Amino acid sequence: MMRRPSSWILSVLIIALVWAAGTRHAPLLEARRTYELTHAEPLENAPPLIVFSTIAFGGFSGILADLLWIRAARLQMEGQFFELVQLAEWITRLQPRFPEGWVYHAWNLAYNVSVMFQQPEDRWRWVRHGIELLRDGGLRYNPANPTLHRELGWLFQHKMGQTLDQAHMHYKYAWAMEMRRLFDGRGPDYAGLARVPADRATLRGVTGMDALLSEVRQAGFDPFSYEWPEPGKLSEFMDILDGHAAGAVLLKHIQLRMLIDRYRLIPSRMQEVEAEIGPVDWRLPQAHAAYWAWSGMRYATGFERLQLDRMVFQSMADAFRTGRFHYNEEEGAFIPGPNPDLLPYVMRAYETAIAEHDPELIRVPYINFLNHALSIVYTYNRLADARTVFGTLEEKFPETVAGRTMEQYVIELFTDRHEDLSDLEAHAFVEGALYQSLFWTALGDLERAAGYDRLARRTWYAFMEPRLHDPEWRERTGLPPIDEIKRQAMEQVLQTITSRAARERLQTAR
Amino acid sequence: MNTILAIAMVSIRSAIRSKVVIVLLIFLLTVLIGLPLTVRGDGTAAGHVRLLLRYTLGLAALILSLATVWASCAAISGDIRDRHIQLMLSKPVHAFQLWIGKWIGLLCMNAVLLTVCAITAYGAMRWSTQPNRLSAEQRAELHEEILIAQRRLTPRPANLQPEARRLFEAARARGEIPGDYPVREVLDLIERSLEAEANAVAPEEFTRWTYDLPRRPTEERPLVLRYRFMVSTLDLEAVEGVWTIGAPNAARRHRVEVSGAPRAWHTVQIPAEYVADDGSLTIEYANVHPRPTTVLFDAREDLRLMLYEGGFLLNYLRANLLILIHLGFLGAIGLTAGSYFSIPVAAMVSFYALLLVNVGRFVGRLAAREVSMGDTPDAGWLTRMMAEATRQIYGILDLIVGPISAQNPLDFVAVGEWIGWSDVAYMGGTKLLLYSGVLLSLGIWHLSRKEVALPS
Repeated sequence: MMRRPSSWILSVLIIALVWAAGTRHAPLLEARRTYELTHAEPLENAPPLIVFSTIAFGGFSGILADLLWIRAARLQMEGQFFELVQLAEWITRLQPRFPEGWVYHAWNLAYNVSVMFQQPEDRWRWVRHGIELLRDGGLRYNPANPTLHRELGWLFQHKMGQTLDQAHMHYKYAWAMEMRRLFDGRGPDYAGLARVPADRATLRGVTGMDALLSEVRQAGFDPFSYEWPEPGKLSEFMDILDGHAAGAVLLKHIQLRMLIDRYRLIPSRMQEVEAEIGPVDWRLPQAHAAYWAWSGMRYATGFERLQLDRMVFQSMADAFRTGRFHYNEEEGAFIPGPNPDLLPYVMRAYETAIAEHDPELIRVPYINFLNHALSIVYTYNRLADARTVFGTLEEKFPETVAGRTMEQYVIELFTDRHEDLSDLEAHAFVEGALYQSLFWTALGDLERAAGYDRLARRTWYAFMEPRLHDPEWRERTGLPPIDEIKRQAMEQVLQTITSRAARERLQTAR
Repeated sequence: MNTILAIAMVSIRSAIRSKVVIVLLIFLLTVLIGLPLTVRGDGTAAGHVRLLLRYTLGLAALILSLATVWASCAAISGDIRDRHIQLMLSKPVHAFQLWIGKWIGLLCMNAVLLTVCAITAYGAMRWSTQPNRLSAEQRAELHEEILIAQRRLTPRPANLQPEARRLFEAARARGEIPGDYPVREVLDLIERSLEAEANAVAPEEFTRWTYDLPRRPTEERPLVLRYRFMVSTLDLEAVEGVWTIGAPNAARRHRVEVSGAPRAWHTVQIPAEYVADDGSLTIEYANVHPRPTTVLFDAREDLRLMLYEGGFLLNYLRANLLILIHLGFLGAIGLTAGSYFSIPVAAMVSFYALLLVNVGRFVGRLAAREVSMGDTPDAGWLTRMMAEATRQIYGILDLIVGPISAQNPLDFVAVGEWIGWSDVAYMGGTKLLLYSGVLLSLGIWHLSRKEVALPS
């Protein structure tokens, strides 16, 4: 109880002074920028807890971060990982403008801690923690830092996209399952997204939306949590949406908000990326690696810029080799395959790189890519593309072709190289050959079809033979069963063949 | 006794009247309820529970520790400053009764506050682990790894000293060890190297360890071997091995083929029947990995045999008792410091003492030459002399703080490790009777001689 008038006066004075101090905040920040009083831009738009911790601890925040870091290192050494996510979060948030802190902890969680677990699901959880730390924390407080963009892209390109981790297939699968809830196909329908109400007020204006929202809430769901219901309840949620005319709009709204707020993917930037690297599949990691590299480019100069350039470039090549989504829900088969549609984009990127950088640096990778691309597009019966690739080889690297015809050259590629192939390349070759086999079956040339089928099987066995006695190697880099690859190839053929007779021949051969 | 209780009651009443207790309680409850909503575990139910136990109660204990240090420093020092002590000491009250009365008052308040915190943290933990919130697998993991009390046993240490001495003498005879090298340090190094060798398993070989069990496990609760290892190669691929349980001459031995990644923790269940009649258990690890890789164990840390001792609740109670004992000890430090100094100085001294107790194990390592102080054999005589003097000081400090520096009890509870009643009794006896007794004597000695009615 404040009994004396002076208490009231003092209280009013305190409030007035706090308010007055608050009004000086913006001019002081501006003065810091103008007179370059700090190395970094003042921290803005950060949650109150972060602002408090960075200001209240002042210079001691570094010491506190060090102590937490020591604890994290000790716990990690002892194999006690459960605190590491929280510790990494505190350490980075105590010094949110210290990019190396974010980079180290994200790397540590995704690379060092994840491999301490045997189960792919457990590993994936830690890779995700690393991604989230950079994406939701590091880039939030350092949006203009190219290193953080590169590191995030690297987690997609290398940790998820490559085959060095025993559980790489599970990472790809888990990510694809998350992403496919956001899109109907390989990526967003940009024109459709532009029409979706982006905010709640506009959404509520849609006819029938109020009734739908109240039904969703009555069923125990929060439509604005922007989280998918638990797997057991998802179908109930979807049934409610299906039962309303406004359901599709609400679903699109949720997908849009999740895309932007949760995954921090901006549709207009995704479109820019596609314009540059082609129609990539956003359910697979290569597209995301390219996205984050692309996002960081605007802030990068010099070597940093070159690194991001390379990341986009390499992601394109990876997407060409293994950037097509294939998922058979009934069989539970998830097998990414080659995406030949990206060929002109990747070739253009190599040509630009040769023009911009030292041609000798790019020459060999480009020849390797063209050889690989030729074998893929040829087996997919994309003869026009094959001729373009072979023409480029003839024109720019005639010593490679050495006067051979395209057919001669392709056969040599197939027969001579299977020992040097990576699993992704071997998969692409096998699938391509099976595609050819089915394609010629559909056209009635059974002899040729049998030849391609034999080639596919021979490559499959040649590649798998040394792996048969090494389960670990087989698990990491082995190919799926040949019948499953054939099923994939069949899907491709069915998309290209339109005549009834050809389809019937294919069915008979099945 | 009545006087002591009266002083304790007065301290409690005045704390309640000044709303300190209420504010502290509200603060503690805010932390206990708010913290679980903000902390992020590793995404598993077990990780969340561990974090809950360690962070919520840990933070509450930290707040109580700081509040205790401050309140105990102010209890006597504040009375001297405000001259309340003149009223007290003009009555037939001995300094001893004043000190003890204040200490009991603080201990009672801490006991009440800690009980509220412990119950709230336990309730929060139970609430977040309701059966309908967890899958059967998660529930099983919780009950097998956290909501349990298992005693950690380490293998019987081998006596490597004679062999180390023999190797040392041989090396010295060959002139391989310069005369001015410290003998103890060289012997330590040889012993450590022998220990590492004894716990390494070369390709296609095996190594054996023996445990002495305090009692036989029951059939329902088999032993669990928690182990991890390093490898001599850089890759992290799973390593194949075979555990054979039971003495070499036993009629039956238990064989378990395992495959696991280096540096990660793995478990093997060991049925009770393989424990020998004398209560010992022998285990062997055979390295059968197809690629030549040596498997390295740190026997003291990485080969933990877990013996079921009881349920979680009693363990949790013992952990809280240890926290309370620690708070009592802090109260004694603060009261004694408050008898000598003004509040701010007493608080600084107490915080320093608190810090020293917390880094006690590091002090021990400094004294035991585990950490270099720059006194290498090629360093100058002055550096070596200074390092030796510093080490002696650390040795004395270690002698003082060593017996009371122990790991945070919540670290044990969070991983389902057993805290024995003997640990509680030892800490109670050491911290509350012995150390607090010494502090009490120092406090009373000074207080009974101190001129408390000096003009300001």
